[in-house]
Amino acid sequence: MTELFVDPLVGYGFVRTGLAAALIVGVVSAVLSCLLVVRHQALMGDAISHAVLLGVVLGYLVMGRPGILPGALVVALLSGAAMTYLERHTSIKLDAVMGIVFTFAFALGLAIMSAVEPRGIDLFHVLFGNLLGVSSVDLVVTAVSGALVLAVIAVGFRAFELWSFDPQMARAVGMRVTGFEYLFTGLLSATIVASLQAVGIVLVIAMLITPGAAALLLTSRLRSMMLLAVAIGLAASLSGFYASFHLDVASGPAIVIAVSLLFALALAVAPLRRRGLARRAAEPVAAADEVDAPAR
Amino acid sequence: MTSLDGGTQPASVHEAPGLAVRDLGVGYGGAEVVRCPRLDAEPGRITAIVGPNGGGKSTLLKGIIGLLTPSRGTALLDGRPVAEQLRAVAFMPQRAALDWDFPAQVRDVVAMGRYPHRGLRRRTREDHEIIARSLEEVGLADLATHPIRHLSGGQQQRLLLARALAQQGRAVLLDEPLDGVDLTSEQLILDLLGRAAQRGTVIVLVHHDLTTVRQVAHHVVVISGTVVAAGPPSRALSPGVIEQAYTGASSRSQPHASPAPEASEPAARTPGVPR
Repeated sequence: MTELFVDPLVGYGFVRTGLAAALIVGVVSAVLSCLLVVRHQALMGDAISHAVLLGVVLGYLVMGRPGILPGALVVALLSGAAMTYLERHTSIKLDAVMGIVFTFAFALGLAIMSAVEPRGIDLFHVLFGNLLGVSSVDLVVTAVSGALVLAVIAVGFRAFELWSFDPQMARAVGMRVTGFEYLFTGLLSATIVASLQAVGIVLVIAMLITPGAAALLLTSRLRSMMLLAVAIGLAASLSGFYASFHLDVASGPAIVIAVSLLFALALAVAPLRRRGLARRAAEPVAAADEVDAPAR
Repeated sequence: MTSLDGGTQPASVHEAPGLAVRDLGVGYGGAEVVRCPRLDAEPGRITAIVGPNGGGKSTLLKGIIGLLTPSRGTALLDGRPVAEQLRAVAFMPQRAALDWDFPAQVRDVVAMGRYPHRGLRRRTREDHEIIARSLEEVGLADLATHPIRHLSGGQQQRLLLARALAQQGRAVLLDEPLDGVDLTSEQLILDLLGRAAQRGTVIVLVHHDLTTVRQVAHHVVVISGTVVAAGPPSRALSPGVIEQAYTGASSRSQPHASPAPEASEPAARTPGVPR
């Protein structure tokens, strides 16, 4: 056992750094995934993460390797803001807006990369992650941005809950909904940048959807959904990380496969749980359903 | 416009208690959908906004509470702009506007009614008492820890009413509160609204069914792009008014538009409806 799980950590510092990064990403993206799933914005993470490629390239060209994360963050924030702005001020809906903005930024990033061919960026690692390449500076950036995101959501939980369930009421009681949307986009951007090294910009999409979706199958409150999603995210990061180390598989794919398996497990367990709930029901809800007109 | 409540209310807008809408224009993206020269909803009675589909009922309601920005005019509550006292106005959306697969239990949704007062701070004992009482009133106390995704349509509507009541606002604005609910729920919702009105709350609801509106409301405002008529149901809902409202804005014949008998039937289903 120690051979499998402890020895890798003792032997190499960069392995410890990688594991820490994977765990942070597992926690933070899991919390965000809950909000994205209940808000029907699951592909917002997809869009921003693709746009981040442009930031990675520009950041590297301007400042070298230390510029990658700041560059990624700036472009993530800008593209997220651009999407929110276009959705609010044109008749084009969010899904189309996302498609336009992210493909443009992604294409621009690829174009610059193919023209300049920067030596310090491995496209494969940007796309799919490389846990063992996480530097201690990267880890600090990941930890700080992750802590910031978690703190904002923890403090503002009630507001996030109301805004997610009923944005009309949120606005009707005076919440600044527009500002809130930009804030949320900012949190998402920070999370994606924090996940860059661990799972890469393509596979972070899974971490921003799957833990929340799996948790939704098993819980009926937003708070418990978030806690369960965090557990799923942690389990996926941990198992994916060790699988990556021992089987010599790329870390990003390993973590994503792990989280997908956990989703399948949730899918299998959910019907059992639902039957339990139905038995607990105090009122025969099904009978009342027949009386009511169906929802529009 | 036919009648304005018999002209008994104070002449000054700023002294009249209740909700007073003056020359409010509301629409989407610059195009005005509805213009409301005047609407008065006094405390102690239920005011219903009725009219054909597309006539701007919900749009007007959203303009009053600021979900849509009015292009002109004002909405005053007790003489002060509604925009300055948003937490005093509870809004009940159409239940179809919400995602009922959202991970929340029944009491979580009612607790949202306390958000305008408590914000991000910890809920007090008083909050919890109000939440429990609201659940009790709408008959959902037994289902407090039930996931909302298991509720029937009538239960959903009662849940939203409980949330609006828990806000303890001066005014409650409801968008189609009786749409698609079973008879039991309808009765319960009407009773609760009647009682809230008697306690002095301003109640304004959008209602689509002309055949039941005289059992629902004390005061009716017929909207079809503008105010076509206003007054007690027996007077405001004259056949002429209905024809004007429904042929003007909608080409389809309106199945609910039945001629109004001059002598209104006793309003047996809502406590406090004047005979």
